[in-house]
Amino acid sequence: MRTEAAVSADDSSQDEAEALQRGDEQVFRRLYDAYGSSLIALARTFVRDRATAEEVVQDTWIAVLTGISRFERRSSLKSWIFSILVNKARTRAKREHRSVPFSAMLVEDADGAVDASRFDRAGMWSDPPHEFDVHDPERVVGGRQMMEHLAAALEDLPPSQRAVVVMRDVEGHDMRETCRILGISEGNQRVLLHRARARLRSRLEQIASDRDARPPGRRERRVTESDAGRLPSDIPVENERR
Amino acid sequence: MLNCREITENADRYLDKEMGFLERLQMRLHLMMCRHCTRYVEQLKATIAMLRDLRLEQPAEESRERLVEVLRGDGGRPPLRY
Repeated sequence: MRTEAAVSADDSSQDEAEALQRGDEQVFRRLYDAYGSSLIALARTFVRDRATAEEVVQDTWIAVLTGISRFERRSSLKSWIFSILVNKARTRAKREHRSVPFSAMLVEDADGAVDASRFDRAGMWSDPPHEFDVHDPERVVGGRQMMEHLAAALEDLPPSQRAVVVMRDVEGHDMRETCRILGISEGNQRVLLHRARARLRSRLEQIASDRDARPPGRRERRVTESDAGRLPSDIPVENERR
Repeated sequence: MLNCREITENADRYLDKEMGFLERLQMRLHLMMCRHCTRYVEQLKATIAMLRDLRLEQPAEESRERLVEVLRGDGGRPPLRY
């Protein structure tokens, strides 16, 4: 990536950086709360467990707080913080002899966006997308909100896909920043993002239609003794859209 | 003419507006005629919107307060005020 491609810091980054330099605790707490969960999610794609990820995040903040005077304002403060995290996480992963994501990313999953068996020979749908209510993320299916299913599906993505989707969709970095921070090409970023989003949509479709596919009679029935020992997701939930 | 499979392979570039005019036009034409692909694109769009609102697990508050001490300069690290 060419460094001049980085955007110059906007006013809010400037203000926040100056506030941190002055030791403004309120600004720090706000930034910490705003980025904390995404920083951990991103660190988790590099290191083995959550506790280690929390340490990496803690080290990142120490580096931010003690090094804020070196923030050059060529990128936003947010990008700078995320870049520091990725450097710390990489170093940590190497120390743990873990393979760093992005090293073998293009072979880890070569499937299409949708399983090939769902198209006919001409590439037209033979098993079209199952309908699910896309406008109700709080809807409960199988005992969990769709949002929670999505969070679980995100955890199951291969690390490099997860890193890209956290940067782009959860945290809202643009493509250029994402590539620069993760050290990947635009082409690779595009492929990873495409695969990640396609997988997540498939999971939601699958979860929603597992319930929708049940015969209406079974869907309406109450939980009975025979449900004992079954997984909660196997038990039909009544009135779940209320 | 794009087929449905090609639509699914390009749907997120379409949503991110990372397409040239012609390619975009081809996508639009297909979507106008194909309700299955329209549904696919809507579901993908909704998935992305949900990711934006996703509430991931927050780090511990005590970690934050330890850092506040660093910020105050009494966390055993060099003070920030010069």
